Amino acid sequence: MSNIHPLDYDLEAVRAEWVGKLISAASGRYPVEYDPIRRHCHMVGDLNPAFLDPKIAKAGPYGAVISPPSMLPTYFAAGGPWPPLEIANIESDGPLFTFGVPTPGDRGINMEVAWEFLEPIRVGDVLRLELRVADVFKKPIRLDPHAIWIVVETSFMNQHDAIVATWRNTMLVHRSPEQVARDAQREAAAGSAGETA
Amino acid sequence: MNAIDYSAERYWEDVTVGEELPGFSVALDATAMVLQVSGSQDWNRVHHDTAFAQESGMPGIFYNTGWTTGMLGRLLTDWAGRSGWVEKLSFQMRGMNSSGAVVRAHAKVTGKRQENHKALVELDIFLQNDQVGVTTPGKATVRLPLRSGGAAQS
Repeated sequence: MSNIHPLDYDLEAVRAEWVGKLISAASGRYPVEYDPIRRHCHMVGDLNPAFLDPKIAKAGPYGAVISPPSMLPTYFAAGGPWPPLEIANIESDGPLFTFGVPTPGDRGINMEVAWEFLEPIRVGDVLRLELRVADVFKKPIRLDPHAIWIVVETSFMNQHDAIVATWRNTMLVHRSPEQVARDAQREAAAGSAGETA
Repeated sequence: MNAIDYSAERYWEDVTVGEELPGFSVALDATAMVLQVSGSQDWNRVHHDTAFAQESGMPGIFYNTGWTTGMLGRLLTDWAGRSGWVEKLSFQMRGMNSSGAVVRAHAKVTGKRQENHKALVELDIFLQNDQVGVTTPGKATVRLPLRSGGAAQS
């Protein structure tokens, strides 16, 4: 929990420190494996043998089982489960899904995703990623007038240093209703004392 | 029953602008919720812990980005055929898909072009929830083979 009061949150200072910053250059602990792909496919009822059947996939256009494009390569290129508990070089007192960017709130919702898939990801490939903060801005939502939006851009590379995919992700980080109510007491006091946020 | 012939090709010349993809539906029952966490490995509690989600100001748990991406990805790869390749996939999560709903993934072809020796199809893609309507609009670009087998005209 970050517990930064909105009155103490300096957006311009956060932007100056974080926008453009390389947050992580992580490598997958394990190569691309069959079973995480199977679990992904079963999640949405996908029976495509290109993703599930080594014998059929071997005779297919890619010569091996490939990861579905929709399976987030983050899993294989970083620490596995999300939030990224083991992504390298992230130090934060707040929630890890902000990648270390300070925020008043500690509740996250993903809002917008854009993928480009450049090369097939085959079972046995070893992936790594480079993740940068592209933007940080404030945009109110119904739950929180001080919600912070974080945009990150990530490139995924295989063991041949070929970029296999790129990802641009926009996440909204907001305060819980309980935190909003708590913070409002100080905001009201600041307002009556002539402070400005 | 799954009637998709995954060994078949879909050729660029056979695609018509305005064509609707077959799509599919998934009922978000308790099993689907567990499969969502298993398949995505997304352990954020708002996706599996109702009390935590409600304490966060949400009406309940909602399905995560990995699941959303997987639904839209399957929609495209089910249709694209043996050699089809999803080049681009983007979407906005404007509404929540929550337990108890039935979600339909569907799409419509909006354009075709040949560019940089690629034969490409543009699509509008959607997740539509029987309780709240379209939750996830998006766009995709799929590369398809040509019947001639040659490279597309630039």
